[in-house]
Amino acid sequence: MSDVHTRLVGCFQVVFPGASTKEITGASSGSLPAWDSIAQAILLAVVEEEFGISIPPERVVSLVSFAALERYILSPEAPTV
Amino acid sequence: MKLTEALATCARISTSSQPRTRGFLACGFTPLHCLPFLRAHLAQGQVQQFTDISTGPYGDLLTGLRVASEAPVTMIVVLVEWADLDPRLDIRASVRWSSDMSTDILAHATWRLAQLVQAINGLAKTGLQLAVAFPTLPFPDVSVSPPWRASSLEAELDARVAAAAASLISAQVALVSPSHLARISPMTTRFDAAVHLRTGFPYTLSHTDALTEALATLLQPPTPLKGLVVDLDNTMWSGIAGEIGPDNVSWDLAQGHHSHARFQQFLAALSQTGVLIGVASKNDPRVVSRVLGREDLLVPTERLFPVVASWRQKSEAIRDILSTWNIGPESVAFVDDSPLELAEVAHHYPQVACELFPSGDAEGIEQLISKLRRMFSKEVVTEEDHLRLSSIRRSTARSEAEKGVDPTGGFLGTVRGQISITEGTSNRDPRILELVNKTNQFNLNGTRYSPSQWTSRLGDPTRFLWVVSYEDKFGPLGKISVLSGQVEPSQAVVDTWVLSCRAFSRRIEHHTLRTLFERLKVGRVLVEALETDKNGPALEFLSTVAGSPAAEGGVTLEAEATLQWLGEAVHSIRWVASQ
Repeated sequence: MSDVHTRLVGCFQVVFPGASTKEITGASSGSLPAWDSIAQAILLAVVEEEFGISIPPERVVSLVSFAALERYILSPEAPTV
Repeated sequence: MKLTEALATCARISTSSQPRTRGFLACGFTPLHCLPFLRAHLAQGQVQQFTDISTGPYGDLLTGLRVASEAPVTMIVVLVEWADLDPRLDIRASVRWSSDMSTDILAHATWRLAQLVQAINGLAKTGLQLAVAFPTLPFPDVSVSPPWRASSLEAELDARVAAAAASLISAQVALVSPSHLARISPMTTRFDAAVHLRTGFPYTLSHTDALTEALATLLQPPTPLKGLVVDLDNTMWSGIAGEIGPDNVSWDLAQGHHSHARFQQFLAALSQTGVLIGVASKNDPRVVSRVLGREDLLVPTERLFPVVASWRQKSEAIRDILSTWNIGPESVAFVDDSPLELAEVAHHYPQVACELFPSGDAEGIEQLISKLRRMFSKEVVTEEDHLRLSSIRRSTARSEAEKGVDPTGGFLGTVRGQISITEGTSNRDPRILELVNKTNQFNLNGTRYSPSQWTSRLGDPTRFLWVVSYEDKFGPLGKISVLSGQVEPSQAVVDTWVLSCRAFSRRIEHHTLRTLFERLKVGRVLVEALETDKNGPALEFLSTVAGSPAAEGGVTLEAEATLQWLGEAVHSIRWVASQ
């Protein structure tokens, strides 16, 4: 399991404290009831803070699952702050 | 604090068994990250509790303030930003620019600001805890005037906001200090345009952290330390008096020693607020006496007490000073220019805050003063603060006088002691909560309360509150004890009882207990005592009265046996109705 994967799970755990690791790794905005627009904004801020990246506004709408966020962080397009 | 830490703190504190408090955050933008940061900073205060925070509607701060005034909360935080004065001062607003818009914005913002001030004043009058921040973001670029040149609109609005802030401060509203905020959150790192456009939340995470920390501190100010012990040579002044002579040590600008003058000025100011200033110096007492007798000293010599000048270890001097002040090492800071002396004191008294005086480093000394200011500053300076030093001096004189008098207690009968008890739960004197939260030794259970929790407790109609003052022929001690509890059909339950350490050895606790039985006319008093690290004196007194150690849940005192044990009163008791 990669370091990014573990750290991303940690980000989800602070935003969605009740969710299990299994729920988190398979999570999308549709699968977690608590994942609303506010939670999305908080989650992205936590991810930016944890990984030292800045997510451009145009990418925000597509980063609505654990897998999508993990792919984005690992991709070369994720700009560091 | 990072956002992750704030969220983790919120998750942890949400499962705490402490009762929750309820607050309201009034702001015109999406509150987003302000909520977890504010909760987390509030939870780091004296009272670890989770705060349920309600919010008002987006884009309408005035309505938010109205909702706050009707909400069942005990604390309110108000964040005013430029956009709340006029929506055109928000980069999210899409408006057609016109040359006369500045005039219109100024007129509208002035009108809106007056409405906000009126609403905030209304909240202040409710007695709820209130913390306010006026615009913290950079003034938005709303015109095409040169950015290096101050615009009329910006200057006019700044002036109106400053006047509004001053009027609120004079009405006792707690506002975040802009200069303090500037030190912990530089202006250029406050605004997050991308997140603001995306979510309506304008702050960077670092600014949110700094701002909410300042607001939480306004709502739950830290307990200030009580005493500051300072070294003399190369701390209070430059030079070693014993070597160069008392007349040649200096603290003046001409000789490059002005930082010592700054430090003396600071000590003088601290002492005016009731902070005890003592001296621990490895020195010849005669030499010290000559320097302290110099007329150009900036801290009045009579404000330094005690002055311990000897060749003993500094920790021994600290021990003597703590004994004279009758306070614990956790309430004291020590400043010395020698790292060795600081280490020696820290070794014997790890609870003492030991701070290096960076002699010759002007910037370092400013930072030291700033740090000491945080340790000692008070929201309110009470009458008791002014009395503290003189009462300690009198206690020393009293101890000397007592040595020649009958040791069985006859001495107290000669001091003409008078105990005044103010009764009533409507008493909002800030000294009361200060006593409850600062007293360690004679404190039943060490429970600390936030101002909102304390106010909420006093709202219970079955509760009684006594505030005890004392004076004798040596002078007044002011308000030195607080006692509170509830009267039940068969007994009284006391859950709060503190007595300032300045008032020990005067049998004030004996008189208070006697009066409790007589005034409430109860046959039994349950005193909810709980052992803490520091409340030995309180538990020892109660277990002596009860004839057995405190059990779980407290000490039960029966009227007949207790009154017999307490013996005759030697002080007079006076009742005062609470205003």
